[in-house]
Amino acid sequence: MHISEGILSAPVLLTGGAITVVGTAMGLKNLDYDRIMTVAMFTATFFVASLIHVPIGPGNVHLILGGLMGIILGWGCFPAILTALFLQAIFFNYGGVIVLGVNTTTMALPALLCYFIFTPWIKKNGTKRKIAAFCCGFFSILLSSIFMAIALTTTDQGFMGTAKLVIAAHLPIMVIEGIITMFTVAFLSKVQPEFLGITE
Amino acid sequence: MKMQSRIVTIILLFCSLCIAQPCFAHKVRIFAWNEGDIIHTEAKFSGGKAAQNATVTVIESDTGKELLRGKTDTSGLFQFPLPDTKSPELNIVINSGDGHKNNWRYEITPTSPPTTAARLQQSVNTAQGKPETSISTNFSEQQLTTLMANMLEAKLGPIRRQLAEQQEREPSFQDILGGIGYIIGLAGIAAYMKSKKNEGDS
Repeated sequence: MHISEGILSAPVLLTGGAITVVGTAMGLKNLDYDRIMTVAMFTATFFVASLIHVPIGPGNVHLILGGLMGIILGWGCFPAILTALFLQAIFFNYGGVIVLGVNTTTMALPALLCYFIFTPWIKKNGTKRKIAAFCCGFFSILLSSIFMAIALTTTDQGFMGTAKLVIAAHLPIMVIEGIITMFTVAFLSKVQPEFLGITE
Repeated sequence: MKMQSRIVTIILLFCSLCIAQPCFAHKVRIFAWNEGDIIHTEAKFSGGKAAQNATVTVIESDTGKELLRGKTDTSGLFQFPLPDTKSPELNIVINSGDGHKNNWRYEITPTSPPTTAARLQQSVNTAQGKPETSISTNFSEQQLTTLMANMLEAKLGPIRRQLAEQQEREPSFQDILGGIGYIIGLAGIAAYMKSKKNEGDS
């Protein structure tokens, strides 16, 4: 999921950067005092999750947990993902500082969209919550792959070529993230419902 | 019932983490070494999986001129003969097509006398040309040097490959802990700022 440096053109980089700035500003503005630790915890989870690699499929993919971050953090996923990606760029050389904006956008924007689409269902009980959580995990990665393909449209492969390659590589991780998100949400709704904004 | 499903959740989460062994995720890397006049390159995704069908471009570092390009095979390997260039360094760029790109700076070191296969064949041919005399006396000093240099190149190849492979540092446990430390620190700063603001409001 991390686009490397030196691939993207300036307009793409600037667009990504602008979206990230807006998203991060919104995230920081909406950040309550009580939620800071939650955001930090999920930043740390995201930071480490990308080191867990899933040896299935044609590529070599890692967990992203965008959907889970979206459900729990809402707008807060922007500053969280930005911080984690920045540290990954510095410590592990994943992506890079120049492409930080684009990488943050490809991962955080789908998470945010999933938050807006699926939250009403997450707040309901039973099967609907499970389905919504699975969809959140699944679609956040699917959307991320599509955004990544859009960002890479200007490269040699073109939009369709990249989209096929990226979506095929991430298909297993979509299902795995869906399942992980589903179980985590089911677990949290029992143990810490306030994490999900559920008042029962 | 509630307890049971909780246990199942934990077990499943644990299992999913077990299948997914900790590894160093999606980034492509390339490294190059030479054996005689042939430059070998190997491309891998960090995690150890070979990068197949990825484009390798060889560029002159001085001028930025593209010398040649090719695709890696199923085991991520790509070979090319040492190009005729005055640049002391080659920039070998790998692009796996899905947004991953990396490069390797290959320094052209003046190798021992050019040891192409053709030259070796030539020396063997001359050796076979006079079968009546014993081979040991038949080799001139020049030919012997060529042969030995060739053999040495072949033996050094794997060692060069290993050295090149080790130049890339993989994330260590310290890096991970350091990163988490930063995140907690940033959270602390954010909490401090918010608390100051709250104080100002009240």
